Amino acid sequence: MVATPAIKATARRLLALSLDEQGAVSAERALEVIKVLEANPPKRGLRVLLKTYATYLESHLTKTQARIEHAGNLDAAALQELLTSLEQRYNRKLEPVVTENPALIAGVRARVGDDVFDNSFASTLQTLRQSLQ
Amino acid sequence: MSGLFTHLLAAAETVGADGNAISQMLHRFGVDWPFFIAQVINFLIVGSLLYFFAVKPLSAKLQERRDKIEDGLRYTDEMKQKLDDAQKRRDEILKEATIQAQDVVRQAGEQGKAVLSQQSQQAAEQAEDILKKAREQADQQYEAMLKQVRQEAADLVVQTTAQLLKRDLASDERGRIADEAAKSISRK
Repeated sequence: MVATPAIKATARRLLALSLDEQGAVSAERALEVIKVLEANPPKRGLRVLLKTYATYLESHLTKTQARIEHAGNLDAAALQELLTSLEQRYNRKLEPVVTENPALIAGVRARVGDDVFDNSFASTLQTLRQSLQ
Repeated sequence: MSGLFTHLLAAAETVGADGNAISQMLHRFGVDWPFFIAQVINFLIVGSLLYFFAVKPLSAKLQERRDKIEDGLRYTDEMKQKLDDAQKRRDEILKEATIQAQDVVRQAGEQGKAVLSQQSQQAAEQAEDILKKAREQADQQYEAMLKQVRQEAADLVVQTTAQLLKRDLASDERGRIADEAAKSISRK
């Protein structure tokens, strides 16, 4: 079954109910939404509605998360400075998700939504590879 | 014979002398009138029979043979004329055929030359096309090989550099570089 405009609108309302005052996704609120849905399921299209709701949640989380990868120890102050600059750029609070990635060799890569900020040796070497070919 | 003539002259001279002498002379010659008339009639009958049953059919046969010979001669003349005409016609046909054969041979020669020329031109064009395609293929292969060599060289350089960096970069240097990279992104 394909998500109809009515299902999409319902999923958007459920997403709005899942956000806190800062506009970030709240796990407690999302659980409450799911419980209410479980208690009062719609007559038709529950599965599609849940899928659409999950897609919207993931998309919102991606937009409200700053996925930061680094190679080598990243100083907390530098990380905070980076996070602050990204929040100012997107004008919203971002939840940092920091992971170490040795494939970067050295440097940092930050991703917010579809935007990628890469300042690593790996990206430099990739640019070098393209210029040599 | 001359004796008989002498007797007749003597009898004629005697007629003048005496009219009764003729009958005496005839009697003297032994002429018997009934026998004579019977001989004449007999002669006429035999002559008529000969004429109707021998001379006339023989004459008709001869005339028929003569007509046949004349027809044969006329037919021979006509055949000779026809033979002469046929000979002339044959000579004319042979002459005409010879001229036509010469024309055919000449045309065949011209067509052969034209076909040969056309085939030579086509062969030259085909050879040129083959050469052109071979050059293009060689160029493409050269370009592909060059691209592959460049790619392999680039991969080798990047892999070597990455391995060297991973091996030689100290932990504190990595941290410093990460801090600088974070600050650099913040400043953008």
